[in-house]
Amino acid sequence: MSGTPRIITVHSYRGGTGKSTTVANAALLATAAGRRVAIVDTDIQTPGLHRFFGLGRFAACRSLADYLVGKCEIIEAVGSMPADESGGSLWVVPARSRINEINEILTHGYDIGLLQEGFDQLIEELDLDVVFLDTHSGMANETAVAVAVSTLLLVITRADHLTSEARENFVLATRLGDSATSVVVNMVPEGITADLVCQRAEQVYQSPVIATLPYCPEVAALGTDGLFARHHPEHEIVAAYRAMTATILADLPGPARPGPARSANRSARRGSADRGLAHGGLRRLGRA
Amino acid sequence: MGYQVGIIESVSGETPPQLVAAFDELQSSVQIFNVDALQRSERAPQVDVIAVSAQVPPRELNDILIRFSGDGVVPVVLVFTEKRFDCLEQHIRFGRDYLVPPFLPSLLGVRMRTCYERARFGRTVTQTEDSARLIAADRDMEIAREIQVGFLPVELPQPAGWQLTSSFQPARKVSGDFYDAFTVANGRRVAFVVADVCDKGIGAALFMALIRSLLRHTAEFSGLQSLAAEQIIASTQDSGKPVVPVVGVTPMMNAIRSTNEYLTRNHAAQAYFATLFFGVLDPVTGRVAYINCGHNPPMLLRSDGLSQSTLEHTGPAVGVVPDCVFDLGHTRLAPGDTLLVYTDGVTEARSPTGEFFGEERLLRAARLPGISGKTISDNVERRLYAHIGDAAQFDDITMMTIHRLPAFATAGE
Repeated sequence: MSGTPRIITVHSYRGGTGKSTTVANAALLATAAGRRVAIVDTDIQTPGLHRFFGLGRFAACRSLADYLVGKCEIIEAVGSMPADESGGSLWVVPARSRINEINEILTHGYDIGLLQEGFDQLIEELDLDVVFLDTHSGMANETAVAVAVSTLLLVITRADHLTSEARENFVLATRLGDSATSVVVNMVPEGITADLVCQRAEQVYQSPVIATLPYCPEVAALGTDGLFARHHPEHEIVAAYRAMTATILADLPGPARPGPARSANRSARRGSADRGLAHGGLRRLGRA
Repeated sequence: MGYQVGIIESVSGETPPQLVAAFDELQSSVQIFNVDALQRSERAPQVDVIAVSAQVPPRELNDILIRFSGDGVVPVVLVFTEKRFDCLEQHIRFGRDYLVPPFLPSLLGVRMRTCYERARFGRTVTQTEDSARLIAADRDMEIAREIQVGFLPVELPQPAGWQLTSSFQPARKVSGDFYDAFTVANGRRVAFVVADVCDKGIGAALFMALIRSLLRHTAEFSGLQSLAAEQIIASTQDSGKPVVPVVGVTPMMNAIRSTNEYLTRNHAAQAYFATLFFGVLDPVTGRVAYINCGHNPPMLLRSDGLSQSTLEHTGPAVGVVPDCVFDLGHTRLAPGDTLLVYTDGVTEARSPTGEFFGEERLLRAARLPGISGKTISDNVERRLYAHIGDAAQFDDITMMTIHRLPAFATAGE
């Protein structure tokens, strides 16, 4: 791993901001830049991220919800994406695999400490550079923890969502963490000046706007059936996604080259005594 | 026959001479009392038989008889009259026995013997009833003891690389102390509790059952609902940095808070409370998050057998203050370390000369380098009971050890 892993929590006050689309593409582009990336869908209530990665077809696969209610280890919920020539790697943790899991989560609850412990284990086990945490819109327990553990809070909004309510929600979110905050204004309609939107967004969020992304009918047309950056790598919006991703990762040390040094580093980390993940990552207690 | 007889007159000199003569004939010693004099006195001499004039009203008689009831035994009472049979009737309605002329020694002797035997039989029945009640109470206590044992864990979790032991000796049949250990967070953590309900005996035992059940049920089944945002914001206000509760803290905190709220809101009148130590162990890292609710600070004994520290209070006893704040404590057990959690029955156990066992003796007994928790527990127990000797055990004695096996032992498993 290159330095301290960056945990980027992506949040929006309202749904329909293109949050999951943006973060899924950003994760793919971070991978293409040679990073070791995991993306975790913490939106247990209305999951959707898995579809971008074609995980929807595998109903039997494990999920974050399975881990939280004790059915598996977090590492068993990881779906691995095919490696590309960049040397980067991408892993995806879906929020839940079956609809009835939401009942279990809502009825019995789960220990919220498991979220952070799970993220830590992913970082450790997969030797990650970057973790993207997609969240439920508004506020939920998972969102609160995701914001609290983040090193960067990335707010995704639409130009027509820049309201006082959005501001209040944002203030609450910032009280949950002490991370840096950046704003992305998405789906900016044609004819609206980016500078004007930027100005308004920075007023509402009192944070820098790192990207204004135009509304793109092709992205909408693809929907959740795939990653737009994979299908149309040369598209104008993908260039904007790429620039946004580069800004997010700007001050991370450059990606380590894959090879023996990297492997040695990973082995050493896995051997570190304290996490006790030597038993295939299983943390549940065995009996003496 | 030799009875001690007391004669109570309503008017001096009213006792028929034949009656006194008959008592004399039966070799009984007779004392004559005036009813008014008796009412002014607090106590009367002990006698076997009271012969009372029928002219003493029955209600007054009842008050007076209390003065004769030495050792709780009321003498045999006979109401006599020579002519006032109208007065006798009301005594008979009260169930008194009677003497009427002729006062012949032979008749009087038979009458007294019959009455005396009947009274003795009555007393025997009462005593039998009393002892039957005692036996029933004893049986109830035995049942309570057996049920209470069911409120203690059958076995303690033994995660790989760890050894948990317990020791429990009630001062009476039932106890206000308890200990518990069970897994939480889908089996990823071991929760352990040592508690001391105030008072001893059945009252404390009832509250032990309640508190243990509330704590465990909440921690295991209903203590996971939490408002993460509220907790995280509170931590930011306290420490300036967001702190996400670590695994096991939420069920522990919810268990303590809700038990405290339940007790203070529903049982304030009984004024029972418990000091307790609740810890959550991560067997992988050795980290322990804990809440010490006014309990004796447990001893963390390091593997070298020389250094130790104590885990001080982080909140008040449970069941005293509503809506109070319980803080978290954190520590870590390295390989070879032992955490000794105990109740004050250990340190306040007295020798036959009244000397407390005390923390110094406890520490000396517990501070053994590089050995198992069971050895420490056994050594403390041996020295403790040697100290108590044949003195009475005043308080419940409970201990729990959480021992992290030395690294070489873990590696060998």
